[in-house]
Order: sequence, then C-alpha cells, then structure tokens
Amino acid sequence: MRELYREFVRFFVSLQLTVALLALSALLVFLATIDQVHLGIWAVQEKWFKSFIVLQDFKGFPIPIFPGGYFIGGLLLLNLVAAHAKRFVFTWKKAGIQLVHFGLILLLLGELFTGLFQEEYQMRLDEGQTRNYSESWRYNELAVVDTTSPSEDVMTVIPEKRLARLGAEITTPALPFRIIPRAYYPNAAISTKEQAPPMLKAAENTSNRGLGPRFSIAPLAMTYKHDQRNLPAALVEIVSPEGSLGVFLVSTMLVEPERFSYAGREWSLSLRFERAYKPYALTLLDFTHDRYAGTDIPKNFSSRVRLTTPDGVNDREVLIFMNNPLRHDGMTFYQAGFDNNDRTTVLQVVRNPSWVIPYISCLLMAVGLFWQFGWHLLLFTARRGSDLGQPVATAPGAVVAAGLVLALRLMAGLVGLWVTASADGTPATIGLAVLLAEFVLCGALLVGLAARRAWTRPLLAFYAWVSLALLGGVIAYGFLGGDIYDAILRWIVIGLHALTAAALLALARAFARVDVSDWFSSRATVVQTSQASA
Amino acid sequence: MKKLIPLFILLLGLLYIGSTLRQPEVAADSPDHLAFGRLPVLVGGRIKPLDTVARTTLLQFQGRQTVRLADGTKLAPSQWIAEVLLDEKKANSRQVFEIVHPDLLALLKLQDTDGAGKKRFSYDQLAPGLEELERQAAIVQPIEAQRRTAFQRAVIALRDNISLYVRLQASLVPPDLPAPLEALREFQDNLSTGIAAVRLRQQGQPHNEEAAKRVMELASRFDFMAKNAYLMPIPPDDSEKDDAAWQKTGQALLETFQTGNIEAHAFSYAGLAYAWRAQKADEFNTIVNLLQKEINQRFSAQLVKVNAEQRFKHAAPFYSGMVVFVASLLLAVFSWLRWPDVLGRSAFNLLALGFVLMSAGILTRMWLEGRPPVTNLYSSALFVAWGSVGLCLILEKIHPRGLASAVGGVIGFSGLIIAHHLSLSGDTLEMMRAVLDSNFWLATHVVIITIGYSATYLAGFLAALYILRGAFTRGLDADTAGAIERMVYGVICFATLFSLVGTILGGIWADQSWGRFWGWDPKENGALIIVLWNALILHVRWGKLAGIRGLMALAVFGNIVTSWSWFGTNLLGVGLHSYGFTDRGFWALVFFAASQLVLIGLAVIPRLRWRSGALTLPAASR
Repeated sequence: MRELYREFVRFFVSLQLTVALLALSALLVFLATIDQVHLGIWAVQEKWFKSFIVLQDFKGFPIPIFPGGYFIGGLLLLNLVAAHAKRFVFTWKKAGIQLVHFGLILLLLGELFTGLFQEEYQMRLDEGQTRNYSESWRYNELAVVDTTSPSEDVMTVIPEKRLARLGAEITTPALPFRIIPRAYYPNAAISTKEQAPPMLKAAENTSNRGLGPRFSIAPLAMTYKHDQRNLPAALVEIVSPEGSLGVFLVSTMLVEPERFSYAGREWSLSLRFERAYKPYALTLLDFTHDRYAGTDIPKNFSSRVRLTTPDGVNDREVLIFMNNPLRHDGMTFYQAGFDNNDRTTVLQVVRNPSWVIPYISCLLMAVGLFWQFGWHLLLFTARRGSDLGQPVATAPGAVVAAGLVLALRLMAGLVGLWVTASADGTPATIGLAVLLAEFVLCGALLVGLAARRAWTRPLLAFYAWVSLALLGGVIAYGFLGGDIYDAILRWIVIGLHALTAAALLALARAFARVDVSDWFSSRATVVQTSQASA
Repeated sequence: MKKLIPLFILLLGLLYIGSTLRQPEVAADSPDHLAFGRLPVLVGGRIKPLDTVARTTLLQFQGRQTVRLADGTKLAPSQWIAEVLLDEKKANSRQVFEIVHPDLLALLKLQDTDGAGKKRFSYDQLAPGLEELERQAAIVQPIEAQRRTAFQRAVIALRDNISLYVRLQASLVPPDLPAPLEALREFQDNLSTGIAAVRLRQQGQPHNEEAAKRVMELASRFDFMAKNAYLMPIPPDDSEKDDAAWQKTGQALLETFQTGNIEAHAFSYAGLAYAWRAQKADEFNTIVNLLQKEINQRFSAQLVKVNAEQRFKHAAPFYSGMVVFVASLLLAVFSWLRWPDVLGRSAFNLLALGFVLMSAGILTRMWLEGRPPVTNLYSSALFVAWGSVGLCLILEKIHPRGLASAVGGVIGFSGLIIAHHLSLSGDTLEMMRAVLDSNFWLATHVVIITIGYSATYLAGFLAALYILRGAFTRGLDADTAGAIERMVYGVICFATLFSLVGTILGGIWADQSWGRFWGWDPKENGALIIVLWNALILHVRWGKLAGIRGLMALAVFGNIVTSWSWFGTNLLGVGLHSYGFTDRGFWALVFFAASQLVLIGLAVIPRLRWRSGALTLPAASR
C-alpha cells in the first residue's frame, strides 16, 4: 500500500510528467488554433480549453479526441505544486526558478478564476441615447414585464435554456400565470409570411395571439462564427388558472414586445438579449471615427459619453478610445466597435474580479527570471575567468551580464515614463530627462566595459548609488504624487526600480571584489567571484 | 600580411556598400526623371515620393522594381512612373503585369510566348480581355478570400492590379487626351463661353453646341479623376491647417468651374506631360524644380523625409545586406577547412558589417515612420534577422570558431529573402490601424517577442549545424560539439526569457485595451506555444531525459514551432493579428517544415552512422 502511494507521488512529482504535459499543452493550443478556422473563438474556448475532454462532433456523435484544457492545466498545476512541495529547499541559487514557478502557478489559477468569474457584455449606444444596462453577446432571456405602473416596470426574466424544455411549465410567484414553451429554435429567421424567402423551409407556426400569426419561422443552423450571433425564437403559451391566454411568438429578431392584459394588469412579453442592469447610466454624446487621409484604414475611434448616477454623485464626461477604457464600479468599458455609419458605438463591458492576479504573477515571474539568468551569467563570467586561469582579455560574459542589468534598468525607466506620461507636464519631463541621462550613463558603462576602461568601476558604483536615490524618488512620488498611479502600476514601477537597483548594487559589488587592477589593462584573472557571491 | 586579410575584406565590403549609396546621374539633355521621382504625393495616409509609389507598384505587379525592355535596357522605377503618369500611350505598351496561371492566360487569349520573360504582359496586350476579366472577377468576388482557388486568386489579383494601374494613370493629367496641356489651356480660355453654352442647353435654348460638348466632355474626365485617382498630388494652400488635406488633381480641376482659374499644380502637371512627351529636358526640369521649391515652402519637414526615403529605396541596404551575409557564410564555412583564424575573423567582420547595415536600414525606417522597429510582418522579418545576427556576433566573440558567423550569415540572408517576398504586397511603411496604435506597447511587447523569435530560430539553426556537420562531415569534434551544445543551451535560455516576457507583456496590453489578459487569439497562441516548447526543452535538459542529439532535434523542431507561430497563424485568416498572406507562403512554410523534419530524422539515426560519430565523444567520455 505504502509502495503504491510512493509510486503515486513519484508519478505526480516527476519531470517526465512535466515534459509530457508541456508537449500536450503545446499540441492542445495548436489544434485549438487550427479549429478556429471552423469555429469562433468563443466556441473554441468552450470546446478545447474550458473542458476536461475535447469532444469532436462526428456525424452527430460526440467522440472524445483529446484531453481538454482543464484536464491538462489541472494536471500541470498539480504537478507543479506537488513537485515543489516535495522538493522545496530554499537556496539563493534556486530562488529565481522557484519564484518563476510560483508565478506560473498563480497565473494558471488566475486564468481558472477568470474563466469562472469573468462576465462580458456589450453596450450599444446611438448618439444621444442613454442606457443603464448592457447586453450579453451570447445569452438571451424571456422577459415578462408588468407595465401597468406609469413610473416603473416590474420585470421577470427567464433564462433561454428553460425554453428548450418543451412542455415543462414555468411558474413563479412573481407571475399570476404559467408559461409553457411549445416550440424552441436556437437560431431562426423570422419574416412576414409574404416576404418569407422561398429557399428556407418554414417550421409550423402555432401562435394564435398578437402579431405572431403574421410571421413565418425558418429554423437555421447554429452559428459559431466570432462575428455572428444566434437569434433564437420560441412559441410560448401563457396559461392562467382560468385557461389559456394564447400562444405567442417571441424572437430576438422582433423589436416590439407582444402585449396583453390579464387580471387588470398590462403585460409585455419578449425574447431579448440578456441584460445586466447597472446602478448608473451612460449617454453617448458623440462618436468620432478618423481615417488616414485617402484610405479606409481607421486612425482612431472614440466615444464621448456622459456617466450619471441617479443619486447625482456622478455626472461627468468621459472619453473612451482604443487602449483607453473607462473603469467604473468594478466594470471596464472598452471601445470595441462601431456601426450604423459611425453614429452608433459598441462598447465592450467586462467585469473580472480576478484581473490583478496575472499582474502579480507576472511580476513574480519577471523577478524570478532575471534573478536566475542574471545569476547564471555572473557565474558564467566568473567561471570563464577563474577556472581557465587565463587572462580575461575578452570577458564578454561580464559585458553581457552588465548589459542585461542595464537593459532591465532602462526598461524600468521606460515603464515609469509611460506611467508618468499620462500626467501632463513636469513629471513626464523629469522622467524623460532622467531616462535620457540613464541612457547615456548605460551607454558609457557598456563602452567602458567592452573597452576595459579603468573608470568603469567607480562609474558603476556611482550608478548603483544613483539608482538607490532614484528608487527613493520613485517611492516618494508613487505615494505623494497622487492620482496618476493606480495601485498596481505603482507597485510595478517601484518593484522594477527596486529590482534593478539591487541588481546594479550586486553588479557593482561583484566588480569591486574582482581584482581588476590588471583586468582593465587586459592581463589578469577574476578572483573567485563565484565563491564570493555564493 | 595574412593579418591584414580580415581588414582588407572589411574594406572591400565597405566599398561595396559605399557604391550602393551613389545616386545615378541622368544625362543633362534628357528629362530628369529622378527629380520627378522625388516629388511628394499623399497616398495611403502618408506623404511619400513618387519613386516609392513606383517601386511598390512594380513589386506588386511583377515582383521586381525595374522594367526590362525587349532590347535588354532597363527602365528605372522613376522613369516608369513618369511614363504612367505623363505619357499613358507609352506606358500601356510596357510589359509589367505578371501572369503565370495558365488558365488565366487562356482566358485572356494570350500565349506565354507573347510576354516578356514568358510571363509579363502590357496593358495593351490585356486590353481586349478586360471585359471578360471583369466578368470573372464579379463571379469570384462574393467568395471568401481564404476559400478561393489559385485561379480565382489570380483573377482577383490581376483585376486589382489593372484597376490600380488605371487609377494611377488618372492621377496627374486627364486620361485619354492627346495633348492635355493644350486642352486645359483652351478650357480655361473659353471657360465662360463654355459654361454659358451648357446653361443654355440645360434650359433648352439655342446654344453653341460645339463649346458645350467640349466642356462637358472635359468635366466628365475631371470627375473620373476626382473619383478614381490613386494619388493625391495637390498640396493644400497656406490657409489649410490640416497637413493631410491634400487633394486629387480631379478635385482641383473641377474647382475651376468656381474659380475660373486652373489650379497651379494641376496646370504644372499638364506642363510636365507636354514636356515629357516631347522629351524637352529644359522645360521638364524647370517645372520639376519649381514644383519642388513651391512645395518645399510649406512642407520642408516632410520633404526631408521624402528625399531621404527616395535615397534609402535606391540604396536598398537590405539587398546589399544579402550579399554581405552570403559572403560571411562562405568565409565562415571555408574557415572550418583552412586558415580558421584569418577566414574566421574575416567572416566575423563581414557579419558585423551586415549587422551595422541592417541596423542603419531599420533605424532609417523607424525615423521615416516615427514608429518602433516592428510594425508589420515585413518589418518583423527584418527584425528577427537583425536580432539573430546580433546574438551571433556575441556568440562568435565568446566561441570564436566560425560557427555562429556561419549561422548568422544563413539567418541574415534568409530573413532578408523572406522580407523581400513579404514586400511584394505593397508599401512596407504603412499606417498603423487604430487597434495597434500604441508606440509604448509596440516598443516593448512586439520588440521583445520578436527577439524571442530570433533566439528560438538561432538555437534551431545552431542545432541544425550540429546535426549536419555531425552526420555528413568529420568536422564535429568534441570541442566543436561542446561549443555548439553550450551555445544552444544559452540561446534557448535567452529565448525562453524573451518569449515569456514578451507574451506576458502582450497579455498586459490586451488587458489594458480589451479587458482580457488572454483571449486565445491565434497569434497569442503561437507565442504561447513557443514559450511552452522552449520550457519543454529546458526541462528535458534539466531532467536529463534526452541525450545531446535528442536535445538538438528538439531545438530544430523549435524552428517549425516558431515558423508556425510567426506565419502559420496568418494563414488562418482569423483573429486580431492576421495580416494576410499568400499561398506561395504556405508552400514555402510546408517545405521548410519538411526540411526540418528531415534534419530531425538525421539526428535520431544512431551515432555510429554519423560520419563524426565517435569523434563527438570527448576524450574523457562523459
């Protein structure tokens, strides 16, 4: 029994399993991408990634063809966690790689949470229109609305999938009648009987109230293309305790709801895109769409909207454009598209409570990677010098290591600049000036290292101290400078600066310990940097 | 003496590159078509020289930038564009439309022997079949681009080329007039009579039939130009704030009906047409100079770029780069056989020269465009090659054995060849779509991920070198094998780092812009597969799950993975990143993948069957 358990553990912590899973996931991603030619991205995700087993429809029979994303991802997660739990021993040398894997675990978990909790809606606004709800791109609902009161509507909504259970009564205390689905078509074209296209075969229309009998229903195949949606239709019977009120035709293609009165109240009935109501409203003031002169290539498109809440706390204008969404109340509104001769904007509305997880895991992985590879490069440099016992006349490793650190340093500066650039004026100017100065300094250092100039060492030390001072500045600005930093970015910028400052200090120390008195005159050895740093 | 050879080779390379910078001269007594080629026009959203229009159009029509005549002489691009814009009769007889599909030739009732080089035909030759071509195109048009057959694609391509050609011809002077300058002058002189005649005619009163007819005929030509012209060659006047408010000649000519005077630029272009057709060099050159000066007053900043672009296109650094890289490859390969030191350093020098040349070319493009280096598929090919060559220089410094130089030569050359084929689809300095318009992310995510491609390819090519030398030569001794092994490992670490960081940055961009960190877009998936593959190789090595040749085979497979991610995803024609791609590209990709599979096959045959077999084992067996 114990042996079996050990065998079990050995399997789950083994590197062979890791490699096999990596190969499988590469293959899974490849096959799923190929499948996108036939299916839209959404359907591919459901079929390949958000599943345990990938089922391929083969002449009507679902045949399992590949382990799904949840299966492979889950095993990979298990493998990662198990291997690290079993073998975890903290050493500085391995800290980097452990950090990378920890980041990876977090990333996988983050994607799982995103898959589970993310909600995506769309909001279509014509110019001048105000809406306080967004609509689903996938799901539909049957809305039964009590419109008796002139000041407010009372809505009862029934998910589309309930309509698929034909004959199953839908009852709710909110409604004085029962609803019985009589027919359901997941995708259908509705047209007046005179205009019905002859090539489409119409289904039987048993509706007997409202406008329904005037229409013809032509069932269509479900579409999975990323730019098309299914437009379902259904025949529903409303049955009161006194008897049937009639069979109504509902479809997302019909704009006007069916209306009837019962028990002294006015009701409307419609099948519509699933709505998510919000405690605030957006009004589209203006949509602009520029093209490059003489072409159809879009240069930019942007929506000027007014955001209002009933309590009057919010009443402001916002400009939403590409790469610049509106974030409000846990929702993010992105410029997704446009329609109707540039008079209608389409906003993508996303709510993703776990959106910060990828950022944190990325930061962990970045730190881990630079730690690991920086460590190796330094080691490599030192070893090349010392174990050959040769002159380090060409110690390109040192130059490469320094170059890597300096490049990272510039990247930190660049991110900082990007963040500050969104604020006007001084911060950006100062940031740019500092970045330029650092650029010059790094260039000088690289040249100095490559040409083995004696001034490189003091300059490196100087730069290390400067970077510490800059870190102080960044921290101070990050907390006092106000609104241009959002919380995550602040930590990314500070983290990158701290990381690079530390790397620079380590580099300066490494060079200080090396006996470089002759190194710079090109005929000496590096003394045991590896030992010193280990 | 021998020590000087590398320097001498470098000097030779420098001389060669210097020679490409020289501008050709035009004989003093003939119209200066080069100056004409430097005239700026607005097209595709930016101001560019006519020369660039000529080159990109010719590349698109026939895959090369010059027109070869029956007698063996060549027309420069600027000469050709001058003919197209100013002397349509002559231009119509130039054989510039490449047609290779036999069914399409049959449709147009042409024999391949009718064409220059058996495949290039003139507009005059095609003219009788245009109606049929139009009919076929109308049939094909509704079919989705990916589902078209080779014949259907050829029909659409030719139809598009012809329509581009006709639109070009309507850009400067009214088409189909024997003497445009005369016609415009007469039009202006008799404008009031003509307009009066037209008014009377509309009111059904007696009028000057002749005058009315002439005015209306010209007006319909202007209207055609205003609707269809490809170029916008009339710059806005000083009062206009928007620099992009250039006009088509047709619009300017139609405005004559309000102003009573023909717009100066439009008139100058007609003058150019007159001077070009009569080959009056003095008048032609004077008008070109005047135009240059006049436009320079307001657009001097843009003209600096326009002139630089014309020189850049003429010097064609990416073509001379191919020569330099091939030379470097040859020298490096010979260095394995003889004089390793001298030839090795010569190869290194040439590789460094090629790197500098490419850097200069890429920097020029960045300056012209005002963008980070990678903005489209074409520039990514340049950048991938550039990155690999740069890494090879570093590797060669660490292990000076002529190995990295050879691989650098191969990758540099192939990258430039690929770039050339990608440039056939049109202007490579195109405007960025709004979705991608973010210099920050283009500078970070795109650059880093592209370096990741570079490194993965480099590892794959180094591994291929290992396999080829090991299987077919006795040159793979233990030292060389060890050096390549270390290089491959180092480069794969580097590749993992960059592709992972690049992919993650892409995720952050997507989250910032579209509200999702990961969307399973084909290009995103491609990047992910590269990361997974590199991680797999590293884990195989750390776990010692494969021998050295197994690792090399995995690294070679990385070439297929990267190619698929880079180009294959574009073949699918779906997703945010698809930029369009041809079926020729598809077969090239299949061929490349097959060749890599052969290499992998070589890697798995037993070591003793390798010619270097036993040699790869170090003296103290590991």
